[in-house]
Amino acid sequence: MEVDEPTLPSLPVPDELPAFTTNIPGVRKRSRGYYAPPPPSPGMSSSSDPAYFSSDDDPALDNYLQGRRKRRYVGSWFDQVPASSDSVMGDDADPGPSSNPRHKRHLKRQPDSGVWVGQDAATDTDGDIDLPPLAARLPLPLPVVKRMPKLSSEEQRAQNVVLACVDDGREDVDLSQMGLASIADSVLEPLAGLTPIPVVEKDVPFVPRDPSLKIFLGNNQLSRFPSALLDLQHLTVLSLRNNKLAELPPVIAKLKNLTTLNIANNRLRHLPGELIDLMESAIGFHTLNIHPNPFFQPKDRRYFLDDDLIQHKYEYRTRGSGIHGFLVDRDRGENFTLYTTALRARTPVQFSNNAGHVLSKFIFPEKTQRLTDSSKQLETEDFGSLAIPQTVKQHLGSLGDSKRSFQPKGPSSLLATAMRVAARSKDAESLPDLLRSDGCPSHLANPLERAIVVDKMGGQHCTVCKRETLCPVTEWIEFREIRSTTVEKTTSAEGTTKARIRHRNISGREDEAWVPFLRRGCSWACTPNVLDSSDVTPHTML
Amino acid sequence: MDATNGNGGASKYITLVSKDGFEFVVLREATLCSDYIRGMLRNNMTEARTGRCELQDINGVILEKVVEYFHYWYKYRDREDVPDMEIPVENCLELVVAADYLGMDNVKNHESTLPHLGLRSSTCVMAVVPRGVFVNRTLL
Repeated sequence: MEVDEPTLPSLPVPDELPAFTTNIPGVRKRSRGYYAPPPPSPGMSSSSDPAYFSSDDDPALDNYLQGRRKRRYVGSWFDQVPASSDSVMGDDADPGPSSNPRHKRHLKRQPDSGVWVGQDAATDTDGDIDLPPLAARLPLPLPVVKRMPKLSSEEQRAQNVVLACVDDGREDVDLSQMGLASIADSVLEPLAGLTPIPVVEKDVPFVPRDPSLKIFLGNNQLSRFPSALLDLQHLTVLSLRNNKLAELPPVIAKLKNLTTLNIANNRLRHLPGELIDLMESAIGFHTLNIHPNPFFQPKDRRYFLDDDLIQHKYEYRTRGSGIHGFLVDRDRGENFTLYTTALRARTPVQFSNNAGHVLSKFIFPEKTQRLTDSSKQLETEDFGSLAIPQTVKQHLGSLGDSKRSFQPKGPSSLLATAMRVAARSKDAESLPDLLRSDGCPSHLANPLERAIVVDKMGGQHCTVCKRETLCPVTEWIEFREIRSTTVEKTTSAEGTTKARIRHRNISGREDEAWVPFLRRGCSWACTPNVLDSSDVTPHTML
Repeated sequence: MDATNGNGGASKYITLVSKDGFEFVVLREATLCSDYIRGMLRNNMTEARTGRCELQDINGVILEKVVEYFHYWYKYRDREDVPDMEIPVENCLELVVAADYLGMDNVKNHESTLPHLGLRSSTCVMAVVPRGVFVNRTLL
């Protein structure tokens, strides 16, 4: 049999051969004493079955006639030492039960296995294992956990109210007089999932209906418009009366189902121009309370357009179809009332660059500046002219053919594009501080911060070309009179439809009649339309 | 005044060299949207003769994006309804700084038209916000 062991090369005898039969008191271990191999059993020797185990691929098995003695090896598969008398090593390998005193267990790394393995002399005592000290962990940064804003006690009360409304399916959410200084988005977000209780009546099929949310946030201390409101498509009544709002987001025009908006008694200096579209296009819009607010006022009331046609000429660029489009096209029934506005005056255009540096002589008062009666008054400009600052003209001149490169909807500047990407990035809040750090161009930090705020509030669009712009370069204010317009359509016998239009001014006091609406452009070409001087006649208001 | 008209013999192309030695050959007319490079290409400047502008403060990755913008601008400057150029988020802050430095705003504001001011601010930012660090801070 010795001859038939070609697979095992002769191996050196290790110095320490592990003990098999070391008896450790208290640990019961199956002892494998060294014994002579049993004589081949008669049953096995007479077997004529071929070996069929896949592991029996030993060439010696070809001559498999009599029972094979079990081979015994010491050691694990990668460190094998034959230990029995029938192996190549012969009797030398006999360790003997007493020849191996218990030795300390060594752990060594097997470079190819990647596993820490002890020599197979394993006893079950692990008390004295020599483990190398653990390698220090890789210095990975701690995962940045976004800190959830902690709700103030007022916000928590508001949240309870909101959740109660969502649970009961109530559509009137009364959050007024709760002393809210701010309201986290997470408080108002559940309202988007509010399902009202449908009308159940006899003979009426069960139809789920859309909620018509009414949110009352009056008499609080809010200084910022809660941006979560902008996602509530079914908002119909919104009251923000008696707060500290300084600005309304332009995206408010998204709330197409709004019928009532109350923003009286805030700190608004102007309204977003988009509100005009909302008033005129929202189907059921019927109530608007905007006074009192510290609105900008025109310095003089000389220039104004009283002719509707000329007004449309002015507005075709910014609005497309004017009110007449609405009156003719919109199918609102026979008689209806809607809000319209009449343009009265316009301020000069404030030109700036994307970094927010103002280039024109005309400049709006800073947002932080306290308005006095005189600084509230803004200059106005003739509708037939447009003051373009010298720097802008020079710049356009240096580009060569100024007319070609001076178009709305052209390529936006690299700075504006990069700013927009930066404001939208995941970590936008930390970027302005990076710019403010030592040696950086800190004049970019404030514009970037503004862009981030604008983006958070849903973005804003150029008035002229309707492109999204986070850092507008032209801004102007249009003073408009808000009128409630009643239209009565009468169909005469010949089949022609006549519409009788009546305007009624909604603000009684004269100094409140002209309401400022902010307009903005994404390029220097996005400016208000300039009318022919023949269309513009100066008027003197008495 | 215009660089292209001023020296008729000059090449139609100029070479922009980044801090780390990458060179980009760009149409001279396409670089007109940068105040800084337009200033460099004035008649009496060395760069106008050699047609080689070394931008010591902008590394190759950013300059590549800037050059892409030059061509984007050149292609679309007369068009309407232009699609926005794609900018990867990890480069946006560096591009904001580079765009400000190169005067690729609608127009530069007065104080940073001074070249040394622009230079200084830009150098420092490139040092403070090296690319790798910034990637980690924004993307993780």
